[in-house]
Amino acid sequence: MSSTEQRLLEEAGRCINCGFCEAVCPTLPSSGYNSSRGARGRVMLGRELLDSAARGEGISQFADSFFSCLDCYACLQVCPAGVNAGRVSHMAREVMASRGEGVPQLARLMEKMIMRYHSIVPLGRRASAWAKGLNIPAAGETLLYTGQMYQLMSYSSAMTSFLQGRGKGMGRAIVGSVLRLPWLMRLAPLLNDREIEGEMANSLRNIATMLGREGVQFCYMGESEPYPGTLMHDLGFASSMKEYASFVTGELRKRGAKRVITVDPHTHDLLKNTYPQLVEGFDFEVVHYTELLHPESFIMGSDEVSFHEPCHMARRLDDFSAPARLLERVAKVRLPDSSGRKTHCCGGPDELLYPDIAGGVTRARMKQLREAGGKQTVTACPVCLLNLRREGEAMDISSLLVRRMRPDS
Amino acid sequence: MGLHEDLTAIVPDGVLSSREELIPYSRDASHFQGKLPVAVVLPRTTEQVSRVLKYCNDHSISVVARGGGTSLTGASIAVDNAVVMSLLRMDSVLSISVEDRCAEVEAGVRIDNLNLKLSKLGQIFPPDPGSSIAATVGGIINTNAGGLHCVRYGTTKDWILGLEAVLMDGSVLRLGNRTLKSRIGYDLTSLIVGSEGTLAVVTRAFLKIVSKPEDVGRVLAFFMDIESLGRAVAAIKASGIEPLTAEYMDRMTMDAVESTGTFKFEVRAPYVLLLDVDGPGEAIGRRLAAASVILGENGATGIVSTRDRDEMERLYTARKGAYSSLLKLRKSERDVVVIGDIVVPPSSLPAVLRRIGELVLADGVRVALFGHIGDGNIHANIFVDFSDSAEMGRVESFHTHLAETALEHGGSVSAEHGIGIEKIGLLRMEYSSRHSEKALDIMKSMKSLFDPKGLLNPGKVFD
Repeated sequence: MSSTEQRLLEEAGRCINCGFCEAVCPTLPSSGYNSSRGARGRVMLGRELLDSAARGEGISQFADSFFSCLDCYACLQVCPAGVNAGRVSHMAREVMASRGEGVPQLARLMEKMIMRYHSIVPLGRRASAWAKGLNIPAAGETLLYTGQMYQLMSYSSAMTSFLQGRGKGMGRAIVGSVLRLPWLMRLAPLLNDREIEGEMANSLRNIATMLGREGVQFCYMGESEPYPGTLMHDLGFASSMKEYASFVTGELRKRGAKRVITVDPHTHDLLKNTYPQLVEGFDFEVVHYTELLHPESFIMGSDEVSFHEPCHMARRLDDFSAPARLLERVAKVRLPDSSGRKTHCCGGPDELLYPDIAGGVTRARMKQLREAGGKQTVTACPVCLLNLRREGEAMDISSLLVRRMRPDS
Repeated sequence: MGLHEDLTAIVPDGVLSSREELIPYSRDASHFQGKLPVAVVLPRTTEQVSRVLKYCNDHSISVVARGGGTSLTGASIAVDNAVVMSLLRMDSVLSISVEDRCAEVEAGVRIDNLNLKLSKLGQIFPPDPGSSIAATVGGIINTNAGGLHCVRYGTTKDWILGLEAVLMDGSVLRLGNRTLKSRIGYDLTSLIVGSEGTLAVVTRAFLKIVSKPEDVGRVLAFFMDIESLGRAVAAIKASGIEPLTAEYMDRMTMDAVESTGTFKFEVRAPYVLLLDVDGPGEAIGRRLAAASVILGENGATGIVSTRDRDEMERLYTARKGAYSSLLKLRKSERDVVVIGDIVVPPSSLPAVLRRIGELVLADGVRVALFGHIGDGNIHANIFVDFSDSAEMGRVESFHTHLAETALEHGGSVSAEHGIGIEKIGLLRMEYSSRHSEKALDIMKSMKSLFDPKGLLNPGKVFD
């Protein structure tokens, strides 16, 4: 039994099926209450997967259960025995990846793209277009690391539809072709949504502007900035991820960075919690840009907003509250019933592989945000932003903050 | 056509039949391993429930209705080749009338979700089992569940005004109604409450609701011995203070709760009493002070009171998860926790608790104690490795002695978790001790009237 399998057995072995996790798992209702797509079912099936593997039987039949998990960790918040069904799913995906069984073709494509192009989509100069004219130096002790997350958003929706095709057969054929001929992904920019590209570029410029007005000196790697590998990590490609994290760390070191400023919760969580486990001597100071903005630099406006707290901030970063504190300085904030550590996922992590489940999760969350009573919805994550937008209006926190920064800051 | 196709014709997109999809339905929160269902069906309407039941009745297929799957006695798992019917898709709160003091809800609504909606109108549905985050309205009706608020509000049966329930032949019964009073012949609503899914499938209910307490304060009182704790609760009641909650935990349970990181007790002692008092905001401080004096006079060695909502919420959550927390104290993964669920008249508590302490030593079992001491309900959580036959024997002996102790003091073998698979023998023991075996015969006759073929949740309550 591998160490991952042992850890999976230990995590799943503590569960006593009380079902508390199932009550807060967003994918359970979105899958039509199919328990194999809910937290308790995943923990039970984690044990089954190990049993099947031990008997020398196939394990691919469990894939939908584990790959549909959002890794949102809502389950962990309510489990009296401290079992994390999200971790069970993650480890099960790692077991499948290491055995080469059950991994969706689309997931393998993502791994291939990241290892080959250091991104999900070969963005080239488009990755750094947002910084044009800002004259940000290319090296320095403090490095602004976008992780390409905002930049990739203009491709996400169209690319997901394209890769999934108009039917399962078509989707498989497209992904199969790209797996055989990876250069086909160089055509992906044709799927770019220019309007979203412009908006995301504005968000990054807003962030850079605010940091500048706070007197933060920073550098930026430009078009050579690699994607941090978030999706590859989430999909369970542990071995590739370890290699890739070393590569990314090397790139950060080449620029002389000691402090890394992140702009999105996924990258922040990955660098803060995962990279130190993957890369020996990963000793960068990792800060989110909102931690460098002083609340007193902002003034109150007349906005009334519902705030969607990203899971990676509220839960995986232990009540990370810097964005919420800033938001309260500039607007009247309405929080939905599911907030703080009980926040509800936007559905984003399922968008690529399980768009129907993702859609259901997004609808449920947007309903909660509307009921909270804000006139508009604000979030602090580009993935959440784009997902919530499928069900209504939403804006990035940076757009609101930059408007409310004191002119003298 | 086959079973899957036939059921799919009734509930399109609502039938599961692959092995990996069925596995999660082979367990509930009890230690029993059920049989893999032959299919799981997830209806959205009463009509679909009716058609599925009629189909299964016509084809002599057993049906196990399931809500949140939180039964602690194996009531929601299959013991033969059965279709499991999950009611979770029927999760609408159909109406709430504060004026009528009534909520009409579908069976799959989870209790905490219902109370979240009600709280915005200043109301609550009082039954409050420890599993309320996951338990459903249909589930707690079938279990006649209790919970932490029973000392004030009683059990689920006290809060059900009417039901919609479907019989195995597909007939839909509408019993009771949304009024607080209703005398319309035999009280079939009450008969179905607590019937553990053996008589009918509950699809909808009229629930009685009540204004939520204006304000709440909490006292934690620590004791060196269980008898003092029991006397202190009696003294509180005698003083005229009507607690909203009166819970106790022993040291092992406190250790388990602390090991999850949800709560840290300020005082280290063998026993703790959690006492909630409610009332207008301006009266809470006075009531907390009065309760603290009485507790101190009755042997509490440490007393901590709080009105901090976050702290109270954390402690409440920790207490509700006490059973699951105990699993952290298992010596091996083969260990399970069998829960004793006896109830005795509160006046007998000191004697019964002392006797339980003696039994634990005499039978040589590892037991954590907690429970709803305000209403005399004691949960003895017994650690057992079923692969160890000697230990099995000791646990069975303790379990029987525990039940005998409850009966000797005028109590019952089952307070709020139901009979399920686990307590079939104990149920026989209780009626036998009362020389009322005939009562069981009447129950079985009633079962055959509702479900002549014996297809609804077979193997539960009776042999």
